[in-house]
Parts: sequence; structure tokens; C-alpha cells
Amino acid sequence: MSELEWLKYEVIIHWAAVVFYIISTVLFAYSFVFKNDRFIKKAIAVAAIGLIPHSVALLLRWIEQGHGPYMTRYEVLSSDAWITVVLFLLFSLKWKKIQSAGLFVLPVVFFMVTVALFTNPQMQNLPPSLRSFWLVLHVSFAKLAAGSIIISLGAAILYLLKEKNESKPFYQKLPSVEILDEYSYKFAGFGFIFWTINIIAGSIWADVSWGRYWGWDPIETWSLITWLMYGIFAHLRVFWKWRGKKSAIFLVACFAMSIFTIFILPFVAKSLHSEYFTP
Amino acid sequence: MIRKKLEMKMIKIIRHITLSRSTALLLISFIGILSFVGLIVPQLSESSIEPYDQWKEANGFIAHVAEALNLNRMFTSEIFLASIFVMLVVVVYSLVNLYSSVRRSGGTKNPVVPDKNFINYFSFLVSNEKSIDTILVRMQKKGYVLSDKSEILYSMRKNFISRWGTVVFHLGLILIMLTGLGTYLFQSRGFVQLLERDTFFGSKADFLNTENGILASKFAPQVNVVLKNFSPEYYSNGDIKSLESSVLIGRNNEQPVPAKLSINEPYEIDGLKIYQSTSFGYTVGLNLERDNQIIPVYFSLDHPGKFGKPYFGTSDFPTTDYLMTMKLTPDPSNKSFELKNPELYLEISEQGQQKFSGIIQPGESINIGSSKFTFSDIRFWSGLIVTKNPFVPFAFIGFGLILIGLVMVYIFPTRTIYISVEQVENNWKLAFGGVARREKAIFENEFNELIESLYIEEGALNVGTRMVEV
Repeated sequence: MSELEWLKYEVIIHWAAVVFYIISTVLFAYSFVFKNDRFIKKAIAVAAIGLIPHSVALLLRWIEQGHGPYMTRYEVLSSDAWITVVLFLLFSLKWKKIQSAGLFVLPVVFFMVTVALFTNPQMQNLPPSLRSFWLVLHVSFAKLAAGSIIISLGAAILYLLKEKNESKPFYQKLPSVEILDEYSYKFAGFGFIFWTINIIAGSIWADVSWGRYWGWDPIETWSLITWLMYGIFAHLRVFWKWRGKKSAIFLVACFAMSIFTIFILPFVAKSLHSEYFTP
Repeated sequence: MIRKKLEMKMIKIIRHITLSRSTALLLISFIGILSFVGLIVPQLSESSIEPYDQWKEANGFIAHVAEALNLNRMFTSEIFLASIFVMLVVVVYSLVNLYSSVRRSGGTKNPVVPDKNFINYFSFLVSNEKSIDTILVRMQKKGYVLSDKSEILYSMRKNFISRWGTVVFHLGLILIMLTGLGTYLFQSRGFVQLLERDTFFGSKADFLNTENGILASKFAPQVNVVLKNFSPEYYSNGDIKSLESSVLIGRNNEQPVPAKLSINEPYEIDGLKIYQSTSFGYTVGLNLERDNQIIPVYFSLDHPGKFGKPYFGTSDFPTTDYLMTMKLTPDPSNKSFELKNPELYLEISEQGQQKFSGIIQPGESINIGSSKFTFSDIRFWSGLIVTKNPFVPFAFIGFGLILIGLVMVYIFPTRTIYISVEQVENNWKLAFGGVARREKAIFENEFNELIESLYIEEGALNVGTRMVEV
């Protein structure tokens, strides 16, 4: 099969995943509008089913191009969306109260995959600098961080919505504002840990590849600023007892910073990182 | 006496200002803002002179202001380094305080129930005094450890290790900042463009550019590197697959050893590390014959990155007024980077006047006035990076400590449950109170489930009371 044929099948399978994620989103929305808990379980099941074609599509790409999905915007968006769904489903099994965040998480996921499908899906060869075990660690934890902070953001936004509309029946079905606040902090904590590992793995790899573990490269620096923001959030939370609205708004700002670092900067900034990303 | 009191008061105020949590937070924010400025203003370094000059030309006044304030060297500027140093002092002070605080919160013989951060209070009666021991064992199975105990009060803690997590994290942070400062002061780093069959003798003049810490001595590493052979490998579409330099490396007066340098596989010798860079290309040798003299000169041309484009370079010819523009096509008939009937397109100009423009092949000569240029040689050049930084392992230890500290803090949040015991006629009243500094709402569910399971398992005599304290 030629590369073009692989791409064709891969894109079709990706679209199948998008369809399932859309259905899951609709089911989440339905469950809240009509106050029917059973549809949350259905929504989660459909998201899990959508993960199957999504995984197949990414796997096909991995096999054909001989390396993981971390080079082009197309595969970075798709794989980040994949890890977000996986994390959401796993955390939903352990902490059932976070399931309602699917109302936010699933639309973000299908939006990411859809945007990916409108970018150039062409495969790219792995350059010599990226042939390293540290790449796998660096990129994997970057994706885990992205997934965790998306879920954290979901909880924060649900908090803000519920706080403003607490008396409305629709929002009374959501977990309590205290629980939403706690989960937004918890997943921000996971994101902070994964982001730290991402930076550490990147630093060690930079030393192995370029002979310096930190060079104030734009992407390194933005990544550090994002890390510092989450660090500030942790201090505000613990020492100044920031809870509720202040905490949620700060998390939204942290998320905006991290989105810029992960999804926008690699494609616009001149840096050692951006050499390997194509639009 | 008054003067001494004033002095002490001043010291107290300075300590309060510089060592408070607000100061720490402001410093973190300030460092973040400085980093942000360092992103907006192009940074000047030896390897980025040309793009910086272009930015300077396009942004006259702003560039002038940026230079005056040292914003173009933000990460080595006095203000940035001073902020890092102050941050270091603050973190050290925090670490000392954290350590003392965690040590003090060890077990005592007279535990006291705190009157704040109390989540729930739950009590029930049991008829058997032995129930207390059973409950303690059950809680231990749930991960709670008996930390304090008196006749009427037990304190059980889970994940106390989390308290040490902040100590470990801050220790890692200190180590990283110290190694960062050490790197800034003492690191040495240089880039070499080494031709095949040529030798790098480790002298400063052999480097194309160097970056040295302000306290580092001149970088002359005393190591010899002979590039025997350079082997690039390509994908079918011309993208670079791998780069490998076969070298002989040795210290002066020592037998050199063969080694292979490739990306992500540096070579280490006596504290020096030699890396294969991604920069490489072809070197064109041109001999100038003039006045019965032959002057051989090598011009390094950069790899074009794509099939169909030539290796390109422009340079003055030393000891002459000639300006050479060179485009080398390794294989004109097929789009490949391998040498098969290579052609060199050469433009020679002198003081703005073109003297020659055309294609020559290896061995061919051209005459310009009394000068004769002969295309004598083609060989690869390979970019090597030589570094010396003894602080790197400490930075990695710091990374490890930060990570361990974070995991301890976030994955294992500390929980404390107090159990008071009171004899009521022939029964025993047990009261449970839970305390958590983090994730209170999540702990509340865990606490309620735990106590209710104990209540059911011990066959409590009554429902007990339950209330929430704020």
C-alpha cells in the first residue's frame, strides 16, 4: 500500500472517531439538559468506543511512518486528544464525580481531532536529533500534562458555571462546587507533575543531544513560565487559601498559557524545537 | 541601647520583607516576567549575531533601549541573576523553616486536637473496650499509622511522608539554581567545523565560536580529534536520517582511540564531552597559483536540506580582493547528495566587478589575470560541539529531587484522624475527627466511608452524632 493510501484510510478512521466523540458530547449535553444520569454512562461508553478507531488510526500512522505521532501538527493534536480521552476515562472509573467534566472534555477532544483533520496529514521522517529514548519520555509526559490540565480546566469551568447558576435545576445535577474545586486542583497537580517530568526529560535530552541542558530557547522558556504559573497556583492555594472562583479563574489563565506553549509556539517561534514541526 | 534596638528592628523588618511568602511569590512572578521579556526581545549570543543585527536594523529606537537595559542579554543580565540569587536565599530560608516545621510535627505524648481545619465529627458507642484496638488495627490496614497517643486520645496519620515532600522539592530547587549559577560562571562550550582528514588540536583558534562562563578560563581543551570519515545517511526524499563522524580522539601525547560520534551519542573524555552537531556540509578546496606560489584554501558550504538545491557558500579569498560565491551540486543528473560528477558553479568578483561566472569540475582550472584557480578537492565537514561543565550531574540530581518531592506532595496527601475515647457507664464512646490540609472535600467522602464501615463492623450501639465543624 502506498503512503497516500495509508493516509486515506487513516483519515477515514479518524473521522469515525470524531463521529463517536460528537455522539458522546451530545449524550453528555442531553444528560444535563434532561437531568438523566443514565445518559452520562452512555456518553462515557460511546467515548470509549470512539477511542477504538482513534487508536487504530494512530497505530496505522505509527506503523507506516516508523515513529510515534509527535512531529506534525496533525498528529500532535490527534495524539493529545487521544491521551485526554484515555485519562478522562481512567479517572472517571476511579473518581466517578469527575464524569460530569465530560461535558467539557469531549467537545474539546472532538474539536482537537477535527482541527487536526483540516491540517496537512503528510507523514514526516524522524530527524537524527529525535532518535532518542528521551523523546518518548519527553513527548509522552507532555501529552499526559496536556490531558490532565484539560480535565482540570473542565472542572474549573464547571465550577464557574455552577457557582453562577447554582439555583438552576440543570446545575444542581453537577457535583458540589467544593468537589469541582478540589478536582480542578487535583488534576492541575497531576498536570504539574507531568509537566515537570516533561521539562526534566527535555533538559536531559537537550544535554545528550546539544550539549547543554538549558539554553533559554523560546519553547523551553515558555514551558518554564507555564510551570512557574502552576507553581504560583500551588502556593496561592496552600498559603493564601485560594479556593473557588479565584482559583478557577487562575487555572483558566494557566491553561491559556499552556495551550500557547504546546500548540501555538512550536509552530511560530524560531527555535530548535520548531525545526521539526511542519504546519 | 536604643540604637541596638533600632538595629534589631531594622533587621527584623528586612527579614520580614525579604523572607516572607509574599516575597517568594513576587520573586517567582518577577522571574517569570523577566523570562517573558527575554522571549519578546531577541537575545544576542555568538551563534545568533546575524538575526539579532537584522532585528536591530528594523527596530532602531526599541533596539537601542533594549541594549541600554541589557534586555538583549536577559538571561545573563545583572537583574536576572540578582533575582535568581535572592530567590535562592528565600528558598534556602523556606527549606530551613519547612524542615523545622516537619520535625516538630512528629509524635508527642500529649496530642491535642486542632480546633481548625476540622471536617467532620462522628461518634458512636461500643460495648467492648477491645473494639478500640480492633479499630486501630483496621485503620492501620487502611494506611493510617498511630502517631500520637494518650489515655483518652489517639492520633492516626496517613501519608505523613507528604510533609517531607516539600522539603525534598525545595532542596532540589536549590540544587538546580546553584548548578545554574555554576554553569553560568564556569561552563565552557565551543563549536568546531572539522574537515575530513583534518585535526582539531583543542586550541581556542580552532573553534568557530565559543561560549565561556565569566569565570571560566580560555577554552583550550587539550584534546586532539581527527575526523577520519563523515557519513550522512538520507531518507528516500532527501531528509537526513543519521549523521556519523568516525574520529580518532586522544589527549596530547597520548595514543588516540577510535570512536564514532553521532547525534544523541556524545563522547566523553576527562570531563569533556564531544557532540555530533546537526550542522555539516561539503568543503570545496580551491588552490590559487600566483607569483610561483600555491595557496590552498578550503571553503565550507552548508547542506541545503532539500534535494535539488546546491550546497551554498560565500566568502572572501584570503590574501586577495576576490569574493567567491559557490554552489556545489554533488550529483547533477540525479537529485542526490552523493558525489557523482560534481559541479561547482563559481562566481568570482573583485571590488564589485564580476571576473568569472561558470561551472567547473574537480581538477579544472580557471585563469583570472595572473591568478589561476584550481578546483582541487571536495570533502565533508562535520560540526562538532565540545563542552565542559562539571555541574551537569548535580543538575540532574536536582531534577530527581524535585520530581520525588512533587510526587510525595501531590500523590500522597496527608490525612489525620483523631479518635477520642470516653467511658460512658458500661460502654465506650468513640469520637472521630478528620483533618486534611489539601483536598478536603475529597477527604470528607473518604473519611465518611471509613468511619461508617467501622461503625457497621464494630456493631455500634447507636447512630452517634455527626456534625460538621468549620
